[in-house]
Amino acid sequence: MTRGPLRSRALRAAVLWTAVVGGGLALAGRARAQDGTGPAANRGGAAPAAAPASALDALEPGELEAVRRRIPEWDRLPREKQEHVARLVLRLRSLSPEDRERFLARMKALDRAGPVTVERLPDALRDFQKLSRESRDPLVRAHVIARALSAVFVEGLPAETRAAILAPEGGLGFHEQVQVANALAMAWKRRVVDGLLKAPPLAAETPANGAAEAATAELERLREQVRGAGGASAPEPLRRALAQRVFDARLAAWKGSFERPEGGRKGEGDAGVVLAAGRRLVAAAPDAWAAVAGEASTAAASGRAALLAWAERQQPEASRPAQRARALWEWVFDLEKRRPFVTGEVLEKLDALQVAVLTTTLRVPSAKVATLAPSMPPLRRRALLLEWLREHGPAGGGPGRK
Amino acid sequence: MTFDRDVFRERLTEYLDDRLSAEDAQAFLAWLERHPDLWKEAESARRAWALLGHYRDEPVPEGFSDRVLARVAAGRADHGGAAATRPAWRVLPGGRRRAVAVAAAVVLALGAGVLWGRRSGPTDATPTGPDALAALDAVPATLLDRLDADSLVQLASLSDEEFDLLLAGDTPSLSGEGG
Repeated sequence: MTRGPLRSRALRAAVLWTAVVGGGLALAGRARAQDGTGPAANRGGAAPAAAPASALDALEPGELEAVRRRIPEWDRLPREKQEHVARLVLRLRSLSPEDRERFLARMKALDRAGPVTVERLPDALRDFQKLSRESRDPLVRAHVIARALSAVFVEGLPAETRAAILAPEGGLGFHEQVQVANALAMAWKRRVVDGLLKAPPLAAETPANGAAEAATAELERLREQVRGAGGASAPEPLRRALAQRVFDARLAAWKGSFERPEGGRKGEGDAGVVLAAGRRLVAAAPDAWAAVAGEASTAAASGRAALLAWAERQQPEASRPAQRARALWEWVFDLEKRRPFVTGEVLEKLDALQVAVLTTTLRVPSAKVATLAPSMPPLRRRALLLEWLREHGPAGGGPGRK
Repeated sequence: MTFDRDVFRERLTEYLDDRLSAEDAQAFLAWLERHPDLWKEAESARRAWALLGHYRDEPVPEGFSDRVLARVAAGRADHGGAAATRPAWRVLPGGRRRAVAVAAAVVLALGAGVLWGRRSGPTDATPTGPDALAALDAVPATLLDRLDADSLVQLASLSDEEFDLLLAGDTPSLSGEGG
C-alpha cells in the first residue's frame, strides 16, 4: 500500500500550491480590475464584478496625454464626455496589433479624405451596419467597379492632363475624384446596356458562381422571349429588360476579378490589382469603353471644371445637389487651410468668395456666416465651419442613401 | 438552437469543441457577426484553443510508474519511513531550514500567481505600446467625441472595399433598371 500515502501527500502539496498560486491570481485580478486592464475593462463589462469604476481612471498617463493633444479643450469637457472618450481609448488599447495597424491606416485614409468625410463617417457607418449582406454586396461591387474603371481612365490620359487633374494644387479633390469615378461607371453601364439592346445576347452564358437559380431562370426566360420575338427586332422594353439582366449577371461574374490573393485585404500592388481588373472589365465591351473614355478625356483636356461638368451630366438629377454640396464643402475647408498663407487683397477676395459660397450655395444662414470674422483664430474658424457642416451639410447617411 | 449573451460562452465552448451541428455552427457564426464585441472574445478563445491543441497527452514509457514508485519507496526507507506520517507541509527534513524553504516556496508560488494573473489576462488585452498611441493620435478629435467603442471595432473589422465605400459615400447605380 505505498501508493495511497504518496497520492495523498502529492494531492495535499498540489492543493497547497494551487491555493497559493490562486491567491496570487486573485491579487493580480483585483489589481487588474482596479487599473482597468482586466477582462471587464476590455470586453465592455462582461463581468460586472471586475468592471472598473471609471474608464477615465483606467487611462494610462501616456494615453491621457495623447487625448489632451487630440482634444485641446479636454480639461473643460464634462466628465460624461471624458468617460466616453476614455472608453474609446480602452477599446482601442484592447484591439489586436493587426487590428490596430489596420485601424491606424484607415484613420490616415480618412484624414486624407478631408473633414467632410470625417464628419459624415459616424452616420455613414451606422447606416452601413444596418444593411443586410445582400444589400451591401451590390454597393461594394459597384464601388470597386467604379474604382477600377477610374484607374483605366487615368492610365489612358495623356501625361499632362493626368498631372493636371491629379495635382495636389488645383487638381480634383477627394469627393470630385469619387464623382468622376462614379460618372465613368454610370456612363459605361449605359453604353454597355445600349450595345446589348442593339444586339441582344441570345446565346446562353455561364452563370456566375453562386448566382441565384431564380435569377438565372428569369434571364433564360427573357432570352427565350426575345429570341421568339425576333431578336434585334423584338420590342424595346423586352430587349432592355434582357440587356439589364445580362449586364447584372455579368457584373456578378466580374466580382471575382477583384478578389486578392491575400484574402480580400489590401497589400502591395493593390493599385495594380485594381487596374488589371479594370482592364478586364473594359475588354469585355471595348466599344462602350472607347466611347466613354473618349468623351471624358476630351473634357479632362479642357481642365478640371470641364471634367466635373461632364461627370455631373452622367449622374441622376436627384443626386447632383448633394454631390455638388460635398465638393463645395471640401473646397471651403481646403480654402480655410490655405488662409494663413495669403494676405491683403487676395485674402479679402478669397474670404468674400467663401462667404458667397457658404450663404448662397451651401445655404448657411447669413447671420451665422457673418460671425466668421477674418481675424478669428484658425482653430475657432474651423470649429465654426465644422458645426455648420453638421447642421447644413449634405444629408448624412451611408452609401446607397442619396 | 438559440444564441444570446447569456448562453454565449456555453455555445462558444460547444463551437470550439466541434460539438455544434453544421447548421448550428453556421448560425452561431452569423449571430457572432452581429455582435462584434463577442466576436473579438470568440476569436481570442479560438486562438487559445488552437494553442492548447498543440499540447497532447504524452505517452508514458512502459514501466515508468513502477520505477517511480519503487524509487519513492526506497527514499522513504532511507528516512526511516517517518515521512509517510508527516503532513504535506513537513515532508522536507530539517526544522528551520525546512520552514525557510516552505516560506520561500510560498512566496515563489504567490509571485508566480501574480505574474501569471498579470500576463495571462484576455488575449485581447494587448499592452499599450507605441502602436496604440499612434492609432489614438490618428483619430480625428471630432471622431473621438462622436464614435462609440463598438463603432471603433467595426471600423477595424470592415473589409478594405467596404471601408473605401464608406469614405466615398456614393456609389454608381449599376444594378437594376435605374441609372
